[in-house]
Amino acid sequence: MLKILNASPGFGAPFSEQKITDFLTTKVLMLHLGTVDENGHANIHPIGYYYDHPNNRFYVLTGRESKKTHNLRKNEMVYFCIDDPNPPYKGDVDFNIGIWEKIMVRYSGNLEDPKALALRDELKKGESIVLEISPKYFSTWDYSKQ
Amino acid sequence: MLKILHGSPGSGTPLSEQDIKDFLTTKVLNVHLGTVDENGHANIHPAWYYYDDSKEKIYVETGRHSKKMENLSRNETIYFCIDDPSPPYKGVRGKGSVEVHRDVNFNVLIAQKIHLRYLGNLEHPIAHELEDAIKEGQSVILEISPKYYSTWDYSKQ
Repeated sequence: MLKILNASPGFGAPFSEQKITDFLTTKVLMLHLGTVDENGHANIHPIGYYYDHPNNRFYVLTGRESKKTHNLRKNEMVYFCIDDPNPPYKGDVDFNIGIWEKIMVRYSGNLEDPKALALRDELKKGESIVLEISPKYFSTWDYSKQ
Repeated sequence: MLKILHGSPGSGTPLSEQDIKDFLTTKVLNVHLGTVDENGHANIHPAWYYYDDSKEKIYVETGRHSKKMENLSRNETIYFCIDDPSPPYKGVRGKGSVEVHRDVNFNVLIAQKIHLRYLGNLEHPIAHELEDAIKEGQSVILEISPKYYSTWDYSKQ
């Protein structure tokens, strides 16, 4: 069972568990990932994601030496935000290619796209990795209901 | 002149100064604001914004006692990210400093620009509710001065 908070008290209503799952799996939106850099400042990284509903996990691809990877080495807590208008690092290439396929199908629908293939090559070479995010809670809002 | 960085080296191109101003004023997207909370963890706050392209400032309204205000009282550097989730992807992000405006007359004018941008008119019930909060001093306006603009535009290679 998910821990669900009302992110906007006084406005709208929080999501139900089913609505969270529907929102995360049917809407094709960016995940905004929050990290903290070496100066103690927040950084935000917009990125495509795949949400594994049965296991309640988010997956995103990133460079092994990307800014977010670098920040996460020092402070492993991430913030995620997906809105309308210690992640364990996964080093298993076959696992990562499976996640790549799910993300590519979701966003481009084409596994033969040159950018998609370039990303796959980076994963194979270990230059890109997969972050698995285990949400501690979901803070939600729905302004269609009062 | 804006300090512009290429936010996605190897993919696409950076936006020009004119592209940045057009993107921030014509696309109606949320800004995602990044702050750091009392545990040293990043927080992200999606919000409506108004960009004044002559002053090069981003304006956001927020509750006087909101989480972002609380976080900014300890660490006044803010991160902003405005990105188009539809391909070809493009966006602008960066760090900025924040000034909190408490002058109600100034704040109402800014809030009205924000409400017109997102709601289309000032008669919308949400516009009334938000404007009342400004007039009662329950909400304030944040003025963000970007230090740089890290940009990407996947429509060009």
